[in-house]
Amino acid sequence: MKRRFIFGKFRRRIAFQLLFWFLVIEFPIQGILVYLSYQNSRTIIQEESIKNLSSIAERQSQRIQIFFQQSLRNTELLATFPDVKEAILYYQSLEDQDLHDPILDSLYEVDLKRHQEDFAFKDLWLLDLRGRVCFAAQEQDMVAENLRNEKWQSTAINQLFERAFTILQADFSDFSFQEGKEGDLLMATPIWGENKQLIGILMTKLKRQALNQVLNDYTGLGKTGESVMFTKYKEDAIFINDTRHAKEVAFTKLLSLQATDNQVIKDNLAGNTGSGIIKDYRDEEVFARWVYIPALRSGLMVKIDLEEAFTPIRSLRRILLILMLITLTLVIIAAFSVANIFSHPIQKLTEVTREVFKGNMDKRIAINSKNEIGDLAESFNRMLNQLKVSQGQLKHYADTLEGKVRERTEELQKNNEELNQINEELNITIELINQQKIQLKVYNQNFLDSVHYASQIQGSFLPSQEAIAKFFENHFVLSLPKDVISGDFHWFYQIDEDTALIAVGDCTGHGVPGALMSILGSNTLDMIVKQEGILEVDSILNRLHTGIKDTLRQEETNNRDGMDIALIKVYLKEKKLEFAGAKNPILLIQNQEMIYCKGDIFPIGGTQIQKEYLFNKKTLDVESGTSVYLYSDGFQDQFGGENVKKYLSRNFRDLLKNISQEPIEKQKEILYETFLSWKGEEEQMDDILILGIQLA
Amino acid sequence: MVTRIYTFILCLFVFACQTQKEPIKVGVLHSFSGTMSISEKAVAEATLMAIEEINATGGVLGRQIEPIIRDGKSEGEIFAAEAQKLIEEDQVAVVFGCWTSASRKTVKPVFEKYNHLLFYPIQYEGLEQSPNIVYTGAAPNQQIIPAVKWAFDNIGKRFLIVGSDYVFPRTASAIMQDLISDLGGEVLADEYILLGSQEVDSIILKIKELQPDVILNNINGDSNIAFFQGLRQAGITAAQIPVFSFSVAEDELRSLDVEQMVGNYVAWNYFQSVKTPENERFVNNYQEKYGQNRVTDDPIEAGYISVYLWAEAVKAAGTTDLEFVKKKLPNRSFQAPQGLVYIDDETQHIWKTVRIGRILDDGQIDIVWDSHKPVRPQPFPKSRSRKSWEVFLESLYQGWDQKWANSGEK
Repeated sequence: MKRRFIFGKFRRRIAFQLLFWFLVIEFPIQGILVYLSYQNSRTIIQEESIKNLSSIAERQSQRIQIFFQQSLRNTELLATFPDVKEAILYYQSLEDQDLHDPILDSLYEVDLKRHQEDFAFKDLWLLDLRGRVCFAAQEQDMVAENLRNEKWQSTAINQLFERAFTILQADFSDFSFQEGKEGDLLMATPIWGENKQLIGILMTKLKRQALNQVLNDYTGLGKTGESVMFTKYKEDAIFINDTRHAKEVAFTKLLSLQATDNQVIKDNLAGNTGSGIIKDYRDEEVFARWVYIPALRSGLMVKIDLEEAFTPIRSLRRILLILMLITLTLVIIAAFSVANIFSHPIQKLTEVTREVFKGNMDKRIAINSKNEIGDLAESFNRMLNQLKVSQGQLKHYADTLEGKVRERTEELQKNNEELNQINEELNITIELINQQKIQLKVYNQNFLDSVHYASQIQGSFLPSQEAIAKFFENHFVLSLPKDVISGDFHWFYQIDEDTALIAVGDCTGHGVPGALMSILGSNTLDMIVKQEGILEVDSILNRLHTGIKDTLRQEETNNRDGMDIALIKVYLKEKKLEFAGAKNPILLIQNQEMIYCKGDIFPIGGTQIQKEYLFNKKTLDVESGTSVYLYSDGFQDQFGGENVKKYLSRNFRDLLKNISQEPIEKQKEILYETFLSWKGEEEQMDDILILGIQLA
Repeated sequence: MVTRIYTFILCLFVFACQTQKEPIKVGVLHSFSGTMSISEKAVAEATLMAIEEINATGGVLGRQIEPIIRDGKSEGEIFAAEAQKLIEEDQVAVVFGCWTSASRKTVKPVFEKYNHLLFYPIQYEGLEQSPNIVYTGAAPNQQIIPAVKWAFDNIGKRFLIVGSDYVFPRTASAIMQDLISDLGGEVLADEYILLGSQEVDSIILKIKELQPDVILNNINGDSNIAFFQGLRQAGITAAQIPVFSFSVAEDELRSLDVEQMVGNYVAWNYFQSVKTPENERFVNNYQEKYGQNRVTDDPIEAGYISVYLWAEAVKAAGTTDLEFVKKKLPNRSFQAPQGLVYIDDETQHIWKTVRIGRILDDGQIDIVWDSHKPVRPQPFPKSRSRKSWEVFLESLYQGWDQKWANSGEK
């Protein structure tokens, strides 16, 4: 918890934040630069080391080859010496036991030993053409040994003799190893007689010290470099020379060619040349270059310890590390210095802010920097000055506002009193209105009573249900006035037992005016058929038209009231029906077919002012069961349904067709229910009257 | 603009890929017709097998090797003309080819004129050292001299030399005669027939007449068939007079009556019977490719290793540019079927193991002597000075109307 607090505190410090970001930016870049420069130097040193070693190996290889070639040439040269030729001719003539005779043997001994020393050979042998060692300058036990004997079969010395003997040219042996003796390298060359005939073989033995001398030249190999020669010995590799790091290894130290670390030597002894970083026989990492010397079937490896080769790299690494540390220190100093530039003024700012927070508006920041921070401090001080001025103004405004609020409150109180007064006056007015409302209700009730009475009077004018039922057993009359009394009316007159007239009229207006017109219409029709004896439907309408016009004196006044009417005359026996209509139609449903008969386009009275107009009569054949409907336009013009539209004439006719097979009372019910359902909450638009007859 | 840059980079990439994939053309120039085709076809096949093997492992410097094969038709002049075409028209990086010294000597001026490079895979008479030829066959000290010396020590001291009448047998004969003389032996006669000739009667007659201990045979090509048939007809067997052949190897034995050849001797650097893991692999691959009845021999192996030595030099040079490749040739080694071989830095011949063998009844060779290690090549035998050898060669050349073989016109 405490650690987190400290860390959190550090995190809030600009210095640490700056240090963090400086390090984030600087460290990777410097790291990459250091790494690249280190790797680059390492590669350069590696390449240079290998190049250097290659040239040293080349030089060493050449020197070795020259050394061996020179030794070989010396052997060839020696074979041309007359005393050597004489010696071989002499010695080959001796028997084996004579070769060991100190007197016989010593004849050329001095000369030959001198030659051996002059040419710095370790030993010198003369062999006759049978392979017998006739003379040995040093190794006396070799004298009289025959190299073609089984003892020597497949040895390097035997092979060398056979090569020199058959190929007839100077050659090296492979390195020869005899038990109890150090390994040797021998050279052999044919000895040609004076008449160019082969007379013997000269063999010389190389001094190992001479080879060491050539190989142990460490020029360019620093303190750890050395040259090592290997050759194959059975399944292993064997050192040929003593080295800088291993003094007594020549012909004694073996390296297993099966070991993973010695694969380079194996590869080298297979005739390959190469270079690289390897582990040497001391298990040290070295830069090495290896070449193959075919004449000796040996490998030469020139190498230098990696540690020494990379000495410049280590110095470079040290310098780079020091540079990194210096840079790191500078970065830390820079981070804190830069942070100080920012954090000191910010601290001052914080102090002043705290004072201001306490209410001390007189405190100011004392920063004389001429940079952005100086500008900030100046702006802050200016802001404080401004704040102080604003604070004074605010106080002044507060004082002023108090007075204004008081004035406004008084004004509001005054207004409130005035409003209370108005309210009282309004209450008196409402009381008056309520009284008038009660009075109006009384008037209205009286009016309604009058209307209901008028309705009864109107009812008495209309034909009775019984009178119609006598003639039309199955019929219904659905009357739905908009108000209590209706402008629609129906009329019935039975001419005889077989014939009757029946009509449905729709007078202009509704309510009281409509009812008056319906009474006029009903009355006029009675007068026409009963008094004037007119019984033809077209004639009745013609007469009704003139009667209404005359009664209302429409030609003299502006009265335009009238009615639409449908009138039929039914012949029960004859199964015939005559129809005349003023605008109103009738509808017949016969055998599931609908017959729609429109009336003439003129109404009775009203706008139809021509006297001479005659209504037309239509005659229709009917059958028993035919339904006949007469109706005003109230139902089809009623607004309602989901979209508050008119019910429409077509829908009304379809409704009548659909219910025509129902019992007659049921039809009335359906029509009534359908109307109520359609109208819903809408106001009834007009009076409705539907008269349905089902012919017997 | 961006599209153009991408297109440009794409073009560069395609160009780089194409450049990388462009094969290295190499010439294969051998006789696929004429008297030498009996021997040279197999060498060409071994050369192509090495190319195929290298290609199968990714080629050289990431490029495949494309062999351009041309027929020298056993005629020196045709060899020279085809060599010129390979260099000029085909722009090959190197040429592997020739068998007879006559053909080599005819193409040598062409390679020297263009400062080009030829790998010559056959044992030969020596007396030559061109910076434009790598001699992967034996020099005289790697075949002729040890063979004659061994015959002298182990068979007899009276020699009769036969050969085709062109530069190799004539020079080989001179070297042999020098050596036999130095050893105290006797050359009873040296007889020659024209290259490709079947007229061996006079030689057979001479042999019958002189009854040498050993016949040193330098006859090349299918004349050998007539020669050995002549010996058999004359009733001369290997037991009576063994023949030491210098241009008959396992492949030629297939064309000869092996029964008749049993007991005769050959000297080479390589025999199919050499016991090395490399040789076992080489023989298997060769027989798998060209038939189980086929055999490998010294020129076949030399043709094979020539390609590998060149490829190693190209790898070391990092280019096929001859100027750089030639610098990497000295001391270049290869673990060949015969054992390690190595290009000598002085002579551009190779260090090779010398082997002498006796022909067995299955057409294989029983090794009776070997040098146990590669022998340094010496193209100029020490029996005469270099100048004397040059005079000798010149006299042959002039004697054959400035040709390297007797055309038989005179």
